[in-house]
Amino acid sequence: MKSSREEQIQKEFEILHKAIVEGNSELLVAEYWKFVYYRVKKLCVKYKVTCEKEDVEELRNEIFLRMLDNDCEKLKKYDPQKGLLLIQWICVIISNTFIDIILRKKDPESLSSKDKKTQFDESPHITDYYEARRHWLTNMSVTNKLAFKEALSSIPAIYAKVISGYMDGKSFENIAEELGKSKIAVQTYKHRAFKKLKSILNS
Amino acid sequence: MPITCLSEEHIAEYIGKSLSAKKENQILEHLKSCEDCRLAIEASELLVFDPELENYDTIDMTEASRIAKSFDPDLIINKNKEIDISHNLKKAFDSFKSKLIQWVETIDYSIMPKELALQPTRNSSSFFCIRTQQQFNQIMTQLYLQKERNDKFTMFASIPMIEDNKKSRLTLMRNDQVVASHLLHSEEQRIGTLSYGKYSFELDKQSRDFEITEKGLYAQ
Repeated sequence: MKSSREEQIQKEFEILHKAIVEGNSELLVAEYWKFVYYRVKKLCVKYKVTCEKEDVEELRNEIFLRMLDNDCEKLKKYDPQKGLLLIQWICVIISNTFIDIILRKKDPESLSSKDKKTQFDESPHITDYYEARRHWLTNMSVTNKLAFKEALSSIPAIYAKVISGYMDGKSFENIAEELGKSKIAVQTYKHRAFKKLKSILNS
Repeated sequence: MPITCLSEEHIAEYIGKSLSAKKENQILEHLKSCEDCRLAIEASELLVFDPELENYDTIDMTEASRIAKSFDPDLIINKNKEIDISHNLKKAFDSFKSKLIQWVETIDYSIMPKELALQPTRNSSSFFCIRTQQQFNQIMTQLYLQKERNDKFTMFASIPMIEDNKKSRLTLMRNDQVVASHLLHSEEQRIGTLSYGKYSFELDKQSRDFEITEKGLYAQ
């Protein structure tokens, strides 16, 4: 009989193969959905970040999106020869995403400029990042607004609808209801929309 | 070449202690002056070396499927696309050729299935079934044990027709002696007649033990 570590490795390769080769992330989600949630919470406790349940969920979704984006680019980077299990590699992705979004407080203008690293705020709140970005979007200069509007018109219609709803201050639930999609789908569209807008505005 | 701020791969290599001495020294030098990277390492180590790392709940596949679809609401899977993965990952995938993933258990003290979903074989009595997974494709390699008279049991095996060209070989052993060995195909194939005792079978380099006793079939 195999040892439990061998069984774990085998399970992890099954998950990876299904996600990367078969394009099906069900096993990945089934295995790590709660795992990622509770690791985000752990980091919030460690770094004294105030977070509501919805905020942690949103960050968890962001982490999964990052794992799955670009044909599972981050998952493909997992190297079993480097001494870590897949679950540990996912921990690295979780902590990096957390730090990127929360503690470094990415400049919301990073939509069109290089990311800046800032000092930590005291008692940072997860929503600060998302609110800061929303605030920037709704208070852009005229020139930026024109460029932004043009970029918005060149992305898929559903992405543009999500961004418009987001800028109007609507919650993901509201936008999801209006579009007849799930909340996670709306977050996915938002995530992909920002990526597309970033590449259009940067070019 | 000095390393600028650390990528996730660098962090993983550093934590997994798989760096060369030279690279490790470069990273340590960098960490002396970069607070952000020290933070990145600290946060990663907090999670990676958590004693409760492997203590977590999963969610069921129905919910996982619903969530996964939401992450790619407009997904069109291109099964013929070329997959660009690292050599090490490819090598790792290739090494896991098959896996035995499911026993259908029998009722205690009987060689009868607990689940009635499967149809019994000819004599409408007894069988067990194992689902195997070959090369990460779900292939139902079916193994049946049929109870005959005089406490004998006949073993049958088959694979789906579409997998006929996979050339899976099933080898049945008892006391480290090969009892039977057959290439499987879609037609149900008789493997051998068994009596009470301990057996093992090997399928694509994966093996499992089982025992037939008067009280029933026990999978190990």
